[in-house]
Amino acid sequence: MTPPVTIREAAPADAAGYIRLIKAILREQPPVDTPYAPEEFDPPVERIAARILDAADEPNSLFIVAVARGEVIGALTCGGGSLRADQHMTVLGIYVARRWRDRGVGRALMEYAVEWARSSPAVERVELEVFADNARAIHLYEQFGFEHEGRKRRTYYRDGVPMDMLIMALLIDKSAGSEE
Amino acid sequence: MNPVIRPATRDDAAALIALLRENLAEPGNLLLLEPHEFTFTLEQEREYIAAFQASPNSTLLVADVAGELVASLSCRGGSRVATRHCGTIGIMVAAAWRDRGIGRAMIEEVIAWAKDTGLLTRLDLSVLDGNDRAVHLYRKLGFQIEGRQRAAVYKHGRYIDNLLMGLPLDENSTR
Repeated sequence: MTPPVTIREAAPADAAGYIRLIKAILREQPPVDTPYAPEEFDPPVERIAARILDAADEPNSLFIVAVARGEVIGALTCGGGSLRADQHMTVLGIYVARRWRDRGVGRALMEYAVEWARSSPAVERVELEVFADNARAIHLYEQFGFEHEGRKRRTYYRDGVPMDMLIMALLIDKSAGSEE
Repeated sequence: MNPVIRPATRDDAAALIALLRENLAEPGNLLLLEPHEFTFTLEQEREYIAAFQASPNSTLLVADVAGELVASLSCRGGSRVATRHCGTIGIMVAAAWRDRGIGRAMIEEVIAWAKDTGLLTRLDLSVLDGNDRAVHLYRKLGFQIEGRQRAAVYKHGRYIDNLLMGLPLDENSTR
């Protein structure tokens, strides 16, 4: 991270920068690991701004950005469950701008998120899906304590090819007196 | 009397709500909703059914016994390019009608339907750990366990693992 990169909670004013980041990533060739086609991501700025505010309000959701020279160059979201059955659980997604990859931005976002999950009383399970051939991402998640829980076969198409997805999760025991 | 398995129509809205409420009221039920979390009005339930009717890779089947709905099976196809080949199944059978092969008949029906669409090449579902009869049935119909999400569901005061099961419908094609 040569120029200084700041990792912080997103504010509504980051919504436009977040949308620019995701759109740029979805247009990349060859396509990157994302479940969206470029035309499938075109939200109004207000909707993302509302999501940012909601995440700030919900104890099991998180919306953080990596910012360099005023530009959003990475983002990580955790979307918490809304039912009694799954409100202890949150689903993690992460994006880093192409020219910022392999420079520790993803790791810094993950450090923030895992620290948040450990300290948030609501979160006991952080889960994610990752393309089965994305060894670098898988390795990063493993380093943060995420464990393999399964492999969904041929569950996402990427560039016309059905791909397996790995299910990974980090469990955080919040029962009284125990140390994870 | 054997149930007739058929796609739901908007006219089934009230009976579908009744079926779900009956299941939600059952002690020990394995549904993800708590009773108070189901808040659909009749009109919302009609729209829910209509969305299945309008989607070529989704279907909502019901088992009808003289107008009473004793089971339902939803298959919701993905809405994006990456996921539209995959249908996710949810199934519910009224307590009085279990162990009579209705679930099996409905899943067999949806597998045949899915192949016929020419759109779906994968079906999946999730089932709570411990629901061995359901897992056994899904296995017999070709589903395999693909994952175990640990402590993913909080139900009846405890954390339960969620088993993910999948059935590729195009096993012969190559990666």
